Formats: sequence, C-alpha cells, structure tokens
Amino acid sequence: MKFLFAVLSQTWRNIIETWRSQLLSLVTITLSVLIFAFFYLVYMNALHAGDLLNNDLRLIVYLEEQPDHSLQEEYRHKIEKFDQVERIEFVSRLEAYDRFKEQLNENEDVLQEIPHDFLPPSIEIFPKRSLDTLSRIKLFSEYLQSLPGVLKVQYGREWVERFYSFIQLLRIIVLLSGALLILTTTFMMGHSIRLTMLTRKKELELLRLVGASDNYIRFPFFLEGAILGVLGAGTGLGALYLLFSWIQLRFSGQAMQGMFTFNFFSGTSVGMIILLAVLLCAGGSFTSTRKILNL
Amino acid sequence: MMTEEDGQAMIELIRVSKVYPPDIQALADISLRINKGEICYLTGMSGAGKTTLLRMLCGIDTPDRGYIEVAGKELNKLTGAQMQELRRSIGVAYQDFKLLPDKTVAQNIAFSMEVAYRSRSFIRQRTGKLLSLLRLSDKVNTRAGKLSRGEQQRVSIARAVANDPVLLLADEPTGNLDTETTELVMDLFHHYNEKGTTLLIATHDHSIYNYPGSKVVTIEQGRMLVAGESNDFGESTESTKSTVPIASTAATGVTDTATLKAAKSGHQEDKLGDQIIMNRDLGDLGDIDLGELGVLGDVRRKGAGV
Repeated sequence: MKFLFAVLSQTWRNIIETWRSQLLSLVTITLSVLIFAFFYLVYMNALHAGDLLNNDLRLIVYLEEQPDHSLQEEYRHKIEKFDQVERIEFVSRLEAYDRFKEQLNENEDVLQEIPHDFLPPSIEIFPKRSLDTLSRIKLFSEYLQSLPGVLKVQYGREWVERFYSFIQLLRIIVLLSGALLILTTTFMMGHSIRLTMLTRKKELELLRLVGASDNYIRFPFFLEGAILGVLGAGTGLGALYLLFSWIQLRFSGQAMQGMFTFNFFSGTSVGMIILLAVLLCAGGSFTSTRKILNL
Repeated sequence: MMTEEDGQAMIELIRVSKVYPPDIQALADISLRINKGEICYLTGMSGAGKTTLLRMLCGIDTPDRGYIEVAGKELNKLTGAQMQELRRSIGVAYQDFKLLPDKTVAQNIAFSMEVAYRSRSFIRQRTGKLLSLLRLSDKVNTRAGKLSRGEQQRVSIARAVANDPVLLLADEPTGNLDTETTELVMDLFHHYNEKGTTLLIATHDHSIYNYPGSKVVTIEQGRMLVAGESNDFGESTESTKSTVPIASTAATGVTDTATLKAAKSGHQEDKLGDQIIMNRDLGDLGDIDLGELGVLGDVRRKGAGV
C-alpha cells in the first residue's frame, strides 16, 4: 500500500513537472488511435455491408444437360467437397422457363413462340456466409467451371471483385494505420520518457544513492505510460465517436443509410483498443527505462 | 571506551586497495574496524583518499582488492536489492551536497524518507524538526539552488540523518560552516550517535574531533598513517599513534576474500605470521581493531628489534 502510494505520488509529480512533453505525447497517441480506429471502423462496417450483400450472393452454374438423380448427387458431392455451402438447388429447364416467365411479368407473351426447354438447366449454389466469402468466391467459381458438363458460372463477378478489392484496400490501410499506431505510440512514449529521465538525471542518480528500489524508480514511468495510453486512446475514440455521430446525424434518412447500417465499435472492441494503447505505451516506457536506467 | 566484545563491527575493512587509471593509488591496504555506536573521524589532506573510502562504504565505488563489510554485510556479495536496502539504512552527507537545485529544501530532505516509504505526516514532522535544529525553518520552501553553500551543506546533513540511519557517513560536513553552525551540526551528529547511529566523519577540520573517546584515523596518499583515539584535548593517544604506514607492515600474502574473512574471524595467525596480530594476543588492547593491529604489530616488532 505504501509502495503504491509512493509510486502514485511520484507519477503525479512526474506528470506535473513534465506536462509539456506529456501533452505532446498525448496528442500524438490520440491522433494515432484516431487514425487507426477510423479505418478500422470503416473496415468493420464494410465487412458488415459485405455480409449483408452476401445474403443475396449465389453462384449459378449452367449445365449442358439436365442431370439425373445420380449425377445431381455427384455434383453435390463435388461442390461440398470444395467448400461449405448453405444450400444447393438444381433448376431444370422447365423451372428456369417458369422463373423467366415470372420475371417478365406483363411481357411474358414474348415467350409464346419459344419452346419451353430453351433455357439450360442450372445449379444454384448459396455459399456459407463468412467474413472472407468474397475472397473465396472467385476460387469457388473457377473450381465449378472446371467440373464436367458445366457451360458457364455466373455470380455477379464485377461487383464482387470490386467490393473484394475495396475490402483488400481497407485491410491494407488498417494494417498500415495499426503499424503507425504501434510505431508512433512506442516511439513517442519511449522518447518522452527518455527526455523526462534525462532532465531528471540528477534526481534519478540521487534516488539510487539513497537506496530507492528498482521498482520505486521504474514504476512511476511505467504507470505514466499506462495513464497516457488510457487518456490517448480514450480521447481518440471519443473524437471518433463524435465524428461518427455527426456523420450519422448529417446523412440519416439518405439512400446509404437505407441500404446499410453503420455501427460504432462494440464495448469489447473499445476495450481492446484502449488495452492495446496502454500496452504499447507502457511497453515503450518500460523499454526506455530499462535501457537508460540499466535496470 | 568500547571493547570489541562490547560492540559488533559496523564497518570492517581488511586490506582495501583502489587504483584509479592510469595508476593513481587512491587507497592502499587500508584495514579498519569501527564498532556499532562509535564515532570515527577520518582525517587527512585533500586527495588523501577519504572520499574514496566513503564512496566504497556506501557502494558507489568498488575496491580493486580487499574486504569490506558494512552493518554485517559483505559489500561485494550484495545483490542490487540488498545494496539498495543497505543504502536506505545509511545516511550520507556528500562533500558536493548532491542537492536538487530545482526542488525545495523540504523536498530535498524528504527524498531519503520517501524511498523508505515513510508516511507523509512523518516526513513533514521530521523535516520540520531537522530544519528547526539546523536553524533553517524559514527556508523550508526555498529552492535548494537559492541557498548559500553553508545552508546547502546543512540541508544535505538533514537529508542524511532524516531516515534514522544506523550509519552516517559525512564527507567534510563542516567545510562551509562558521564555528557556531559547526557546533550545531556536531551536536546533531552526537544526538544521533547517542541514539545508536555510528558516525564516520571525513574532515580536515581539527576543531571537530576533540570529543573524548572518538576514533581518529588519518590517511595520507591512500595509506593509513594513524589510527587512535582522541583524548579530552582532541589529540590522538600515544599508545596507538604511529608514523609508520600501516599498509607497509600489513600481511602481503592475504589477497583472497576467504583468507581475509578467516583473518577477520581470528584464526589465521599461523598463516599470516606475526604481521597481523589478533586482538586476543594483545590482552588489554582488546578494543583496538584490525587496522590498528597492523600498526601495533609493527611497533611491537620494532620494539623487539625485529
């Protein structure tokens, strides 16, 4: 208890005495967290939107001939062997004709002179929805194309590929901003603690001379890092929440809002981001003190 | 007068040597024992090695050779944490004060107590009391950098004694003080000595070691010249005074710690020959330590025509 009290009062004294460099670190950490969290939020929402789009996602495999029961089972077996699917539906020539006719609605009379079996039979495959469905679907279609008796595979290729590219880009940005967060946070913390220690070099020497324990010297810096981590991440996430609320307020009721629901981070995600920032800051200060104080 | 049976050793040095590069002999074969509760004055000219000796006793510096024990702990065997614990129980008043100029007097004094996890009320109370004793009460919130050298010296002394040390090492504690303040400081030191603190004071101020019963050790060019007791008139007693360097007569074959430790326990007479004479051989001189034994041994041998 006495140790905790001594460490807390030392930490408070450190922060007060070096508030300028602490403020600079805090701003840097806040900005890093804000940038990372912003892209991560966009990425999470894009994935969510992709998930919604996936609900309608299906692969249509056009076949040369109407498969009999045993061939259907063989197709089913081969498809399930490649990837997990939600369901597989076989559509005969006649069923295809009926659907087409239904789609034509008022214009169905254009089909009057056309034979009922003019459309090819097909297999409709509904892939199991997951976060990487979009990335897998291209491979899946290539596999299906290679099966015997397959004429063509259709899956709305263009938008899927564009969306997939967008997700990939977002993923790279999130990774880069994550790396930026790690680098700036640890570097800034390390640098800030190093500066503090250099300005307090005499004091630290004296602490050793009067018998201060390693933990007594090191813990306030460690705690200082953790506090800056909490404050920086908290401020960054708070700023992002304000931005998010503003966007929601500004664009509510518009077409985009109708199509997708934008969500903020869950409590767990917020906690994880704060924890990450705390660990990075505390780690940065720990490494710095270890190096300089030779503890 | 304290005998060896009465008091346990607070400081024990056996043949301690230190050479600074390139070849400056800071200390040469220094042997010394100071019992708990004793006051010992370390005298000698500037550059004699007094500060080096004090630095070694508080673990700032390490000897090249020899054995050092402080408060029953062999210094070169202490782990980092044990050394820190020992330092918390030793008060040191440095020659260069080692104050933090940007901190107030109170904050500087509080330093030694904070690392020992003393409560705030204790620190406040003790700081106030010490400042009052040293007539610095009006400077409590003054930055140390704004003080005169004499005032800084007193703050340094206050910090050294604040934590009730078992051993107080003071390096020229009265160097910047007038006569009246010197008396004030010495009274403080004796107050702590009466409470059980062992004092080792490095000084070349003859006026401060005129207290009867105190041990006086003189060092010159890293060698111990005189180890004796001050009498009522502040002079070393003849029985223990010698102009022959102790180091020159000390056993030359003792180099390893084990042998030194065995010598310390008094079982190495045969091995060391008559160069180190144990207290039990000296009969009524039982209160004289190993460091002094070297001198006496030499004197005795000289007397015997050796």
